Amino acid sequence: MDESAHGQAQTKTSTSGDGASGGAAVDKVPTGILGLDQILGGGLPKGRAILVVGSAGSGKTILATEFLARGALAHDEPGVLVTFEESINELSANAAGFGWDFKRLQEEKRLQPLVVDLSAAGGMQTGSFDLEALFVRIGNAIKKVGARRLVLDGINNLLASFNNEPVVRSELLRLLRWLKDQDLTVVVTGEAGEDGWTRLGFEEYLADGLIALDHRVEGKVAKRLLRVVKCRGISHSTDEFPFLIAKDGISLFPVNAADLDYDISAGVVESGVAGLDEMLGHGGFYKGSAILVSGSAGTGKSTLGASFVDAACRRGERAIYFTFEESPSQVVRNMKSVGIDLAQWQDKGLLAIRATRAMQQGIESHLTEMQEAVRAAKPSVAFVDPISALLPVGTENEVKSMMTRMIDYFRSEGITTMMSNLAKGGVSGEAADFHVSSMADTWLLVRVIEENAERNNIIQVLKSRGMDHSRLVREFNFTDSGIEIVDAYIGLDGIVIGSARHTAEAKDKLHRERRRSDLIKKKEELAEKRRAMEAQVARLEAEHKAEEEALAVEAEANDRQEAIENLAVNAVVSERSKSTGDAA
Amino acid sequence: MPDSGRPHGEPFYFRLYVNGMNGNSSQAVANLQSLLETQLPEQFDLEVLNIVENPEALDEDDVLATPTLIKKLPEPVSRLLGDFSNQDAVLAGMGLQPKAQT
Repeated sequence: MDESAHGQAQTKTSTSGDGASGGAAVDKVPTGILGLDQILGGGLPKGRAILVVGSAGSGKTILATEFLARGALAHDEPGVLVTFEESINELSANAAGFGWDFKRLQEEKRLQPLVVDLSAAGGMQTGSFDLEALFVRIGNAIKKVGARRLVLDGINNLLASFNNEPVVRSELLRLLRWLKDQDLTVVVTGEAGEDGWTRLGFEEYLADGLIALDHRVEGKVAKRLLRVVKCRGISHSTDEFPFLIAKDGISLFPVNAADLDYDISAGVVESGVAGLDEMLGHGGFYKGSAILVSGSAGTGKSTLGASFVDAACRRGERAIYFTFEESPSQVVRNMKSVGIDLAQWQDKGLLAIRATRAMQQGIESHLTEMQEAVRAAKPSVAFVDPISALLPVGTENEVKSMMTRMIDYFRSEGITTMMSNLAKGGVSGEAADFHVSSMADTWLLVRVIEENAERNNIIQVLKSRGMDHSRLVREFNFTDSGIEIVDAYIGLDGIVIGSARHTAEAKDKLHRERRRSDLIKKKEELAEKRRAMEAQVARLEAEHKAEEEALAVEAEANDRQEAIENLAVNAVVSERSKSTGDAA
Repeated sequence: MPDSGRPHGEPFYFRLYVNGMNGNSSQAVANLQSLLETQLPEQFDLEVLNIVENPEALDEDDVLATPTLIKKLPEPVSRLLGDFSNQDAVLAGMGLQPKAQT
C-alpha cells in the first residue's frame, strides 16, 4: 500500500457525545489500518493501552505489528515490539511477508524488537520478586528508538509464566501504568481462552480499549471479524466488521467506508466507453475500485459490463465475467449482436466467463467459488452480472456480509470490479435499495426513456469517489461497435451544457418522463420478483417433500419397532401369567 | 569437616541481578552473602549487577525478574529468583546439600 494513503498526521478529534471523558479532546494515533481508523474516528487514543484479544491465528500479532510498522513508516512514530511468544527470526519472516523490513527499520532506529524468552522465567523461587528487570529492558528499548508506540505481544504467555500469576498480574498493571505515564500508545495482545477474553482479567480496569478478533468458519467459508468492544473517550461502532489478511496487512472495510480518499497514483482503468471515461473525469475508473451499474431490465447494464471486460482484454489484461442469468454462450451471442466480440478473448485465454445459477447454492458457496475462479483466472478486471441475483439467496444480513467481503476481496486483489444491479422501484429509481451502492466507489445509473415512440438510453454518474465527474445526464446508443455516448443529453427542448439551470430543467423533465415509464419498469420488476419467488417456492417445496419423505420413513420404522416391542411385551406377560399360575 | 560430596575448591560463579538497593534487592544480597559464606566458604565468586546500569546484560541473560541469581559455574547453568529468604529453596535450586551449621 502506498504510504501517502496513510500520510495524515495525528488528528485531534473531540469525542462526540460519549460523555465518558466529559467531552475533552482525545489525541488520536492512527493505526494506519484504514478501516480500523475509520471505525475509531481517526485512531487509537494516544497514551492509552488497548487490548487486542482473539484465538490463536485470529490475526492479533499481525494487527499489532502493522500498528508499529505503519507508525514507523508513515507517521514518524518509532515503536517497540515486545514479544513473549515468537523468536526474532519468526517475527521478521512474518513481517517480511507483508512487506515490512524489520531489519531495516531497526537499523534506521524506527523499530526495536525485544524478544523475551519466557523459558528462562521458570527458575526456582526463593522469596518475593518483581519484574523490574523486564521494565528496565523495555525502557532501554524505548530509549534506543525514542518510541511512541509499544506492543506487548502474547501477554497470556507472560501471565502463565513464573507459576505466580498474582505477582505477574500486578507487575503487568504497574508496567502498563508506567508506559502510559510516558505517553506511549500501547497495544497488548492476548489469546482469548475458552471462557472468552475476560480470562485475561485486567482489561476491565486497566486497558482503555478492547478490540476482539474472531476467526470462524461458517458454511465452508472462513470468516475473520473485528469488533471494537470498547474504547474509552472515543465514540465508535461496536458492530462486527469482516476483515481480510491481505498482501499488505489487515484489510478492513467498514460498511460506511464511503469517504476514503482514493490513492490516485494507483492508476486508472478505462471503462471501455470513450464518452463514459470523459464523464468520469479522470479517464476511467480507479484501479481496484468497485463500480455499480444500476438500471432496470434491458437498459444496457450487461453491455456496459461487456465493454469494460472487452477493453481490458484489448489491453492484453485478463478478465472474468460472472453471470447468474445466462450461459457463457448466450453471453457471447448477445454481445456479438451489439458488436462486442468476446469469443476472441476466450480463445486467447484472456477472458473467463463463469455461469452459475444463483439459487443453486448458498451465499457463502458463491463467494468461495468466485474467489476460486479469481485465483484460477488472475484477472485485472471483473464483471458480476447481476449482483442483485444473489439477493434472494440468503437473509439480508448474510447477503450484505457476503457482498462486503466479495468487494473487499476484489479490492484487496487489486481487481477493478463492475457489478450490475437490477434496480428496484422507489420514488427516484436511483435508490438501489441495497447495500452495494454504499460500498461502491462509482455508481452509474442507466435507464430507458420512451418519448414520441422513440427509446432513448440514458446514462448518469451518480457518484464517483475521488473524481470530479460530470453530473450531466448523457444519452448513449448501441452501435455496431459497442456503446457510444452522445455528446450531451439533448433535453426535450434544448441542449443541456454547462449551465446549472438548464441541467436542473432537464432533470425535472427526466423525472416527468420517468413517471411515465414507471409502468413499464414496474412490470419488469414484478416479473423479476415473480421469478425469484418461484425459484424460492420450488426450493422450499423440494425441501418440504424431502422432509415428508424422511418423516414417512421414520414413521414406518417406528411402527415396526412398536410391533416388535408389543410382541416382546406379550411374550413376557404370557410367560409371567404362566409362572404365577404355576405358583398358585 | 564432613562434606556433602563436593570436591573442595571447585569454583562457583554466580551472577546476581539486583534493582539498586531496593527492599527485595538489599535483602537478597544480604541473604545470599551469608548463605554462600556458610555453604561455600572461599569457593564462590559472586558478581552483583545493578539492572539499571546493565540493560544489555539483561537481554543476554534474558532476565525478567529481580532479584535473579544465575549460577554460571559449575554447569549446568541454573537460575533462582526471589530474595533468597527461603534457604532450602536456594540450595535445592543450586543443586547443593545443606551443610550442617557448626
